[in-house]
Amino acid sequence: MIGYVIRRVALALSLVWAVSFFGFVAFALTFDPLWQQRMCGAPCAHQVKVLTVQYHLNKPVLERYWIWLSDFVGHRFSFRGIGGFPINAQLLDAAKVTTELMACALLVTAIFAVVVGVASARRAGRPLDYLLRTLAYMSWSLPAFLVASVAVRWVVPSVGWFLLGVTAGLPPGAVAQGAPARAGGFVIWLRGMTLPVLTLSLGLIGLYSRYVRTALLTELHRPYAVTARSKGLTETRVAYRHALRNALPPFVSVLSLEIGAILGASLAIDYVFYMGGLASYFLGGLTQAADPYVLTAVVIVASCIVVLFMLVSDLAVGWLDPRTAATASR
Amino acid sequence: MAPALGGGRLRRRGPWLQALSRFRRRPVGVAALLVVSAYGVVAVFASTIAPYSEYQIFFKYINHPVTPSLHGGHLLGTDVLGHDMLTWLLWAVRETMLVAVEAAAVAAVIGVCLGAAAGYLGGALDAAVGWLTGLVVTVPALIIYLVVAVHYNPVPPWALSVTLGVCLWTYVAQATRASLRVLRPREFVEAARASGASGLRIVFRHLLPNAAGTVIVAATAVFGQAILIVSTADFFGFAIGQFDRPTLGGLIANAAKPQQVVAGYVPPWWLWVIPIVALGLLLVAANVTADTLADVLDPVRSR
Repeated sequence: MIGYVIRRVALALSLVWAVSFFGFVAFALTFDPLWQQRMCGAPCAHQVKVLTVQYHLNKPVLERYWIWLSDFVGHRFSFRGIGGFPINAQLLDAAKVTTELMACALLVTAIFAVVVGVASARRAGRPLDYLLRTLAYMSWSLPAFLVASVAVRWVVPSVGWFLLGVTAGLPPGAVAQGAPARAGGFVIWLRGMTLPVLTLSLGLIGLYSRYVRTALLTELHRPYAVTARSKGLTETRVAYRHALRNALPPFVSVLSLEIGAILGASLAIDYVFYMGGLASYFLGGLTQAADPYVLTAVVIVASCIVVLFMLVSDLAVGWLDPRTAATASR
Repeated sequence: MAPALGGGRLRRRGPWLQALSRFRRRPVGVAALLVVSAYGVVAVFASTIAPYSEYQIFFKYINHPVTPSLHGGHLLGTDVLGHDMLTWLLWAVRETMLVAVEAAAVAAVIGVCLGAAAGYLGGALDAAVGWLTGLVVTVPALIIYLVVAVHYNPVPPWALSVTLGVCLWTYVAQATRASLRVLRPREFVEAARASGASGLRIVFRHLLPNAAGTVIVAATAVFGQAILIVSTADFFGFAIGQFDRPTLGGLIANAAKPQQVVAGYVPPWWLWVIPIVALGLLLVAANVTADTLADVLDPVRSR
C-alpha cells in the first residue's frame, strides 16, 4: 500500500510539473505581455526595449521557463506576475474557495449518488427506479450554469437564508437581496456555500447514481450476494455491506477521471454565485492583460486542485479494493 | 447462433443489424436520436428554414420586444436588440452544433489513433498514452477553451472545435484502448497474424471494426461534453463573436446574466425560456442517445 501511495503521489507531481511546463511554453510563445506598449507605437519604443530585456522576452522559450521556474522556487513557490508583482495571496484565496466548493460537492455527490443508486438498483424495473433514472437524466443533462442562474434568480431572493458573495469576502448582503446575517464565521460560510454545493452536486448525482446502479445490479446477482441472502441477511445489509463495497471502486475510478470536468462546472457555479473562486480570478484576468505568468499560475493551481482530488479518490480506490494497490505496485 | 428450425439453414445477421433491432425496441432512445437528428437538420439548413436573414434588425422593436405569437411574423417574438428570436435560435443551434460535431470528430480521430496504439502495442507506449491522458484530464477543458477563445480573438470556429477535440480525446482513447486490450488476445487476431497481416492491417481491418461501437458511444459522449463546454463559455460572454452571432449559451447569457439579477431587471420570459429549453432538450437527447447506443452496441454491458 505504501508503494502504491508513493507511486500515485509521484505521478501527481509529474503531472503538475508537466502542466507547468506545457502551460508556460504555450502561453509564453503565444501571448505578448507588451501588446499595449506595442500598440502605442513609436513613443513607447524605448519602454518596449527595456521591458523586453527585463522580462527576458529576447531569450529562447526554454530558457525563459528555466528563469521562471528558478524564480518560482526561489520565492518559496509563491506565484508572481511577469513584472514580479505578487499574485499569490489572491490566487490562493480563490483556490481555497474553489477547493472548498469541490470538496463539499464531491462529498455530497458521493453520499447521494450511492443512496440514489442503491435505491434504484434494489427496485430495478419498478416505478421508483424509472422515476429516479428519469430525474437522473434530467439533472445530469442540465448545464451547471443554467441551474445556478435559476437558483440565483429565484431561490436566493425567495429563501432569505442564502447569501451571495460571502465566500469572496464580501460582507453579507453586499451582493444579494438576502437578509443581513446575524451569526458570523462558520454559519455565514454555510449560508454562502450551501446553495452552490447543491447546485454543483445536482448534475453529478444524476450522472454517478447511474454508475452506482449499474455496478450494484451486477454485484447483487453475484454468487456471494446470493449466499449472503440465503444466510438470512436483510436485503439492506446485503446491498450496503456486501455488494456496495465491490460496486464502489469502479464508480470512484470514473469519478477521478472526471474531476477536471467537475472543476470546469464549478467555475460556472463560482461565476454565477459571486463566490470569488478561481473563475472570478481567471475570468477577471483573462481579458485585461496577456501575462503568461498569471495564466500559467492559474493553470498550475487548477491542475493542483484536480490532482489533489484525483489522489484522494485513487487512495479511496486502493482502500476499497486492496487488489488495485497490489497489482499497481507490481 | 442457433440454426433456424426446419430448414437447417443458418439465419445470419451481422452485429450492426442486431444492434439496430435492439435499438428499435428502445422507444426513448429512438426519440432521442430523432431529436438530435432534428437539431442536425436545423444546423445544416438554418439559413433556409429561418424566416429572416441572420443580421436583420427590426428597428421599431429595439427595446420593445414582441411577444411570441402566431400572428405578426415573429413566431418566437423578438429580443431587445430587435432580432427575430426564431431566426436567432436557429442560427444559435447551427453555431453550437457545428462546433460540437467538429470537436467530436477531432476527438474521435486523435482518440482512436492514440487509444489503438496504446491498446495494441501496450508496453511503454501504453504507459506514455496513459500519462498523457492523465495530463489532459488534469487541466479543465473549459479553461483552455476560454484562453483560446479570448486571447486569439477573433478565432475561426474550426480552431475552437480543434481546441475542444484536443481537450476531449481522452474519452475516446480510453474506450478504444480498453476495448482493444480485450480483443487483442482473441483467436481471430492470432489467425490474422498467422496469415501474415501487418500490425496496421490487424488494427484497422480486424480490431477497430469490432471496437466501432465503443468508439461511437465515446464520440457521442464527447459531443454532449462539447455542447456543454461551448455553451458555458458562451454564457461567460467570451466566445465566438458573442455580440454579432447568436449561440445557445450566448442567448441565455443575454437574458440571464447574473449582473442583471443584482440590477433587479427581469427580462421578458421568452428571451431565456426559449434558449434554455432548446439547450436542455439538445443535451438530454444527446445524453440519452449516447446511453442507449452504449446499451445497444455493447450488449454485454447492459446485461
